[in-house]
Amino acid sequence: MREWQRQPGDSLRSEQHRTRNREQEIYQILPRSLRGIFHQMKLDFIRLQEIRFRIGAPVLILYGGSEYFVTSSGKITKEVSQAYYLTREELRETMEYISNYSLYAYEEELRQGYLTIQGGHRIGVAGKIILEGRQIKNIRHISFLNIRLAHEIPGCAAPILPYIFQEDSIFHTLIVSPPCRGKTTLLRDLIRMISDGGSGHTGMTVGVVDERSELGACYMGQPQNDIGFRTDILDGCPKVEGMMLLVRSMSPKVIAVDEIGSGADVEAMEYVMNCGVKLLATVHGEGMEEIQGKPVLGRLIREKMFQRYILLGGEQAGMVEAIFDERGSLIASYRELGGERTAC
Amino acid sequence: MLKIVGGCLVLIGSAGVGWYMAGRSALRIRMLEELEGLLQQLYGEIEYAGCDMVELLRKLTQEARYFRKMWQSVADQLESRSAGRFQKIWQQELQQRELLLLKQEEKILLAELGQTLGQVDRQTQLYTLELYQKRLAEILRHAREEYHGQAKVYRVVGITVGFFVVILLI
Repeated sequence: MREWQRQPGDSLRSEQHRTRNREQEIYQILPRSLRGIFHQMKLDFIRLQEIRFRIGAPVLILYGGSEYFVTSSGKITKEVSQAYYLTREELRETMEYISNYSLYAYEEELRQGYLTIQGGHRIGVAGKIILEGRQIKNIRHISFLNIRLAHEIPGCAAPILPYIFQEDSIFHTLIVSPPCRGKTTLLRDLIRMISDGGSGHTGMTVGVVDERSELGACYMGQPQNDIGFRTDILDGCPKVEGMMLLVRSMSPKVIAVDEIGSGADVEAMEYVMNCGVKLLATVHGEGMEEIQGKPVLGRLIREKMFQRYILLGGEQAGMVEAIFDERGSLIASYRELGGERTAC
Repeated sequence: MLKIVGGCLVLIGSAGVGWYMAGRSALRIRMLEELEGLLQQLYGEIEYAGCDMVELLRKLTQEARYFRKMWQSVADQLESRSAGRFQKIWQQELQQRELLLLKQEEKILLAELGQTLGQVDRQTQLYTLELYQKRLAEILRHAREEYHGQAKVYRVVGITVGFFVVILLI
């Protein structure tokens, strides 16, 4: 068993602790009228993925991959006729809890369309958009909320770790995946393992540019997800500025960024690589051919800047299809990786 | 001898009532001044520090004298996240505190402040605070003018009434 994987003996207690924490974190943002209902439902909060609030519409939850309505008697159902309908007052109360009764303090986050709360859970918001020129200035009359519970899978990156380590460092690595296939979850766990070290590998200082607060899920500057004890995070920082800043100020050995795409991102990555810092990044893509065809990123691939490509895909989320080296040669396939899902 | 002692006591008592009434007016001004300071602090903290409401109220509690218990109680209730919406908590506190020295206009201003705090974006929040600051400055100006006239009247009336009663008694 690798040191960086959770030990089976630890799991029960920490799992219970995590469930209790999640429960508490979610309860404290629910309107008081719904707290009792959710309590009666006796949900397993690890399986709870989303809660959807819309004014005048049924309360919906995504639980164990399926969508259910919440009833006023504290049950979950597929029948809309029994559903509990959310009032405007209840949504406003929720919004006050989410924003710590201080909407003015979360203006920047609201402009991005989401807030992160204690526990790293993300609340997506929608309502009336206020524009200034063509830029979103603010959101008013918030009427729709999507409470997405934080999703961490410690140890999910363990099968691929041997393929990206080289002596006392790592290879420049790019995770390629279609949307919602678990690339952020995988990247988060890779960061944690590289940072903490273990199994003969020394831990490394990792700098994370977390533009959308998805990796660390920082709440008041403190990461809510376990991303390792040698990790520094620039939360809510644009990737280009963040990567430069980290190289100059925090002397990381590895820099991790999620969802690269623009030409400026690629230029900043080149700068990082030329500074002797290793790079861990993710990109949207269906396969190697697709990302090679991307105008700016394709050049980096053709110039063999990345040394490892982890391709997620297949039917299930979190499934590592293959790992390639810088020449595009297959070095590990789904079967060699144990034929199991890693993330999600 | 007894009449002289009684007369002195009546005179002192009556003058004391005058001074007490003048003191109450002065206290109201001090409360309004504290509120003025509160609004300035709220403005500054929201503009530069972006503190959330609980943190803000805790800071105010440290510096407040007349409203200390109110800020403390509101902050505690907000932190517990079980008392409902901010407006409701604020209104309940205003009703419970019975701020007797404040006039209706000042109580209305405080109640209205509770309806906007934390409910709007930063720019609107600062704008509304500015408006409340202006309204309060005007109320305070009137209160000071009133005080200068009234305090003298209360004291003079207190002493004069005392003298009349003494004369009548003697």
